[in-house]
Amino acid sequence: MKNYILMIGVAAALLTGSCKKWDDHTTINSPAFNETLMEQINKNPDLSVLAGYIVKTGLDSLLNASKNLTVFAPDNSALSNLSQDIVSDPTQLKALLLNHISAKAYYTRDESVLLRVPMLNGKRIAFNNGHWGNAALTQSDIAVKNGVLHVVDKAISPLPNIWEFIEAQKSNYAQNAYISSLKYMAQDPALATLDSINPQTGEPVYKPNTGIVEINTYRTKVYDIANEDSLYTYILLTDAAFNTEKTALLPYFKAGSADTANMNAAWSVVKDLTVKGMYTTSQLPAVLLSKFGVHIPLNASAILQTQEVSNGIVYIVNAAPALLSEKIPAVYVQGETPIGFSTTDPKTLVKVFYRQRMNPETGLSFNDIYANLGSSGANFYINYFSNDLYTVKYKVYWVALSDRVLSGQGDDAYGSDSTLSQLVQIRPGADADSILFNSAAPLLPNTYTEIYIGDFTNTDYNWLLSYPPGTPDGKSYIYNPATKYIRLLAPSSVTSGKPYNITLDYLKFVPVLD
Amino acid sequence: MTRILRPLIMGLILTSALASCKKLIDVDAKEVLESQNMYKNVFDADAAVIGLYGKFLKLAEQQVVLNELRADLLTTTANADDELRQIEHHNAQPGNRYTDPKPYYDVLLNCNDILRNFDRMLRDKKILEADYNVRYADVATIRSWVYLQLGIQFGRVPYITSSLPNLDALKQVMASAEYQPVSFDNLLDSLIAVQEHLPFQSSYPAATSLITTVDGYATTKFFINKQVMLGQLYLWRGKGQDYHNAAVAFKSVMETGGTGNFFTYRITGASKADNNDIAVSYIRYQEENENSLVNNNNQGWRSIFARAEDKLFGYEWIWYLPYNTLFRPENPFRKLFSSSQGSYLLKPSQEAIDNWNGQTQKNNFPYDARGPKFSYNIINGQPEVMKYQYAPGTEKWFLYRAAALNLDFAEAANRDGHPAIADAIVNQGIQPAFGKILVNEGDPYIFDARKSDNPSIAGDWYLNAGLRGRASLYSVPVMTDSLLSIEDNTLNERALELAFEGARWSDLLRIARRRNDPGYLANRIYAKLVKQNDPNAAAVKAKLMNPDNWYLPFQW
Repeated sequence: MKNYILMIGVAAALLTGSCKKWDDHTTINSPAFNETLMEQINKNPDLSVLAGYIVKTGLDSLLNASKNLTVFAPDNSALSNLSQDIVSDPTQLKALLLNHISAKAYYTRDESVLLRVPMLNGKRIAFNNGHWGNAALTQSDIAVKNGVLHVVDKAISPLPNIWEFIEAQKSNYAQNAYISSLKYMAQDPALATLDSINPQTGEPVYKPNTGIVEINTYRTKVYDIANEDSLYTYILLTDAAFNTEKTALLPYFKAGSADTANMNAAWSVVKDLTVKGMYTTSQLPAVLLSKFGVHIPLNASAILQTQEVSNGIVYIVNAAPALLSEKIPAVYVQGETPIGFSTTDPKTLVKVFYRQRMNPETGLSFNDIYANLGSSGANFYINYFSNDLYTVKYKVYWVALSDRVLSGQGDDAYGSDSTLSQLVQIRPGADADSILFNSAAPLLPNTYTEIYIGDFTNTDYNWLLSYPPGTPDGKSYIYNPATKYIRLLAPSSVTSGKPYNITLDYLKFVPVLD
Repeated sequence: MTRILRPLIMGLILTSALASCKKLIDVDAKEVLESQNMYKNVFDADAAVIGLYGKFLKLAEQQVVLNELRADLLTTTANADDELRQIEHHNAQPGNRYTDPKPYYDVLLNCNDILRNFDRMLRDKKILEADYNVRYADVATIRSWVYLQLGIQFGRVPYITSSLPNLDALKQVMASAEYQPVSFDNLLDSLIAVQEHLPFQSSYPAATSLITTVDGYATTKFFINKQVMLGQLYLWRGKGQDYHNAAVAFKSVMETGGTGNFFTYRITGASKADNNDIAVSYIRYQEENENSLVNNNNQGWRSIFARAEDKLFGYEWIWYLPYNTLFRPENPFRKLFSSSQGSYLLKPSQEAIDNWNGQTQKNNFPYDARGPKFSYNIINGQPEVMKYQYAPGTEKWFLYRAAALNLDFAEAANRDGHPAIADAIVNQGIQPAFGKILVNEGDPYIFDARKSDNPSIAGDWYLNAGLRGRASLYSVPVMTDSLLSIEDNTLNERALELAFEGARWSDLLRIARRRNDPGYLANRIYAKLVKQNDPNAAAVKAKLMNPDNWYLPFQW
């Protein structure tokens, strides 16, 4: 009996002994894990000013909440030189503090050149190499119950983005004023009511007049410079430089109204002045490439001022002269992309062939169109259009391959060995009677080179380039008063034995700029 | 007392229990089929054959990967795993699932077991000799096919024709002292000897109980063609009369259907009036319009791979095995090739794409529609093999078809001293090359291409359009050394026509062996890798310049 008592005693001793070890094992070593961000901030005497501001703006409940936040906490000395205007205004103060809190936990191990931490006010701030923005981390990776705390040596006020910068500076700069003025009403697919799906294209169709919002077409047609998630470089011209560039382009945008001409010249200047990516002064290339293929030279000596913004960088410059030949580029109209046909005999439509050929001159294959009309195609025409012909003299060329190919299936040969006599016409409207250009060249068989067919001078461009692609009620502006309609036309008569065939690889309009 | 009695009683009980054991346990279980009872009649024999093909079907993935990825038409995508990359780089490491010979031997052991049991059935008079002959020949031919593949991929392999119970037994045989693997050359000799002496050389007669309908599929084309197998073996060996014998074997299949059958396996051209054909064709009078290309599952060249098992299907297909979502095994090709339904592991090589785009169609379009329009498509900017994807849910393992048959025949005829006939078959067909005459260069080179209305004559071959004719392509010219030039043309036509069907490595290896020219093989693989900027290109070429490295290491 004594033996049993002894054994129980030993067992109990063993158990209690091991129990303590177990406790050691499971106890949280970092006491901070039991605290919230707010408690941790309160505990740190270096953060007492911040703690006071947090309570003042009511953010303490957020920092006590069960979330997984990051706080970049400016220490007392960092907050000591904060302007009293901000301190005394709870709205401004709260905006400042939200710029220091992120809704997700970021540790220093996450640091990367690519990391821009999203803050609660929607801005993003770089976190790399021991720095958060331009503030250095003095204490880092203090893990607590609801997130992580870093102590930083500077407070960072929220920066405006490029769009906010433009809006704020529109009275100081004509360029900003112009961009800011590009306001139109349009349908926002996110807000509009879905009506149906187009069975041909699979694209959604929205009910007219639903989800109508005001848009700025600089943001929809160039880049959305209010987007905090992307980085852009915005080049802001001084008023003098802006006027110089605009004046240089004005002759190419003649219009019925001086306003239209002015606005289009302005659009032509500004459309290339935002480029994707943030190019800081140290990594600035000699030329920047715009979305529209225009090279913008940026000379360091032309930079008057550099402005930091939350989604990139702004350079205020007194010159950024782009090449005129890129601003007013050559225009191509591809033969295989017609917008319509006209014929008196619908049966001729099955004789319109979309072909592929190899160009022995270039060694590249190309697509073209060939209307194998034979003897029954008088006055048949194919319609094309262009909205890119500005007010300048264009030299017009075609590449048009006329050839004859035997049928692989033993039927009649396709095409012809004859010299064809097709025409190119330009009209101001699809069915307009007036003809602005009417020219041709003999079309010799098996020619793969560009053949000059005449000069076309456009005299007006009566449409704003800044317009959105359509009206809010769904009407498209693809065809507008500035549209030029281009016809590839079979002759009205041919000498007997010759076919009415017409063919086109492409038309090329080369502006004469001098 | 008790101390003595207890063990005694226990002992007694135990002995009586043990004594009754034999009777108790040795009763045949009602729901288990013992192997000696499996082969009781001809229907059991049929079941064994069908079962063999079911097992054979599992080789499909390995077969296509080894024969295409090692060669120059197919390459890996970014999604491919390391084992696939090893295959492409001819650098297979031990344990690579694609270089495992066991699945092949699994089929072989199955063949040997079936053949032994067929012999027993014949001895025990459980099967008629005629029934025995046709089934024995079929199983033996499948065995030859698998051995030929083993030879192609591994070079020296164990050649076992006696029945072994399982792969472990085989492993023991291989470990024994007297065992020797046979060289590829000796393997070919053995296989030809077997194949030449099969008791039956034709396809299953229509009255055979195996020719039936299973799961909605007519089984006619499920079974390997013995003459094709024999012809291919001759083509691989290429000694003495082999090329002639190969031509005879292939020609016998090309004349399936006999006199008056103008279409079966005879490579005919487009049916321009209704486009109900298996050629590259355009809607009539609109051949110059790329939108008029006949491109659907029921008409034109694409329908070869997609159409239902109808009359035109029968004109082309000689051997295929079906996959269906209703039964196993699962189709492995979807995983390999499809980006939407599978993992998109393999894609056409730039080399293959350029080859198609280097052809000119008769409408002067600068490509061969069999490539960019049918064999592969650009999907979301990436080339994707389409041949296996046109019939979702009812895909097939493409094993042999008329195009391969005609090209095999052309290869044999060219080497047998009949280059004009070979050239005609590769290019535009007999009649365009020779005119409306009876071409007679002695059997098997007799092609009746006559056609006349008065008197009314229509030769069996008058509609033959040749491979390039059927694809609506201009002919390829023959260069000064016509023998090698026509052989090159034939090989390239195989690439254009049969790409991704699991034959390319075999084709390259066969020609390289025949010409004793490692560069023939190595340069083509090198060209593929260089075009895709593969840093291993030079190393792979150096490796393949040594014929010993053409074969995979045989690792059990």
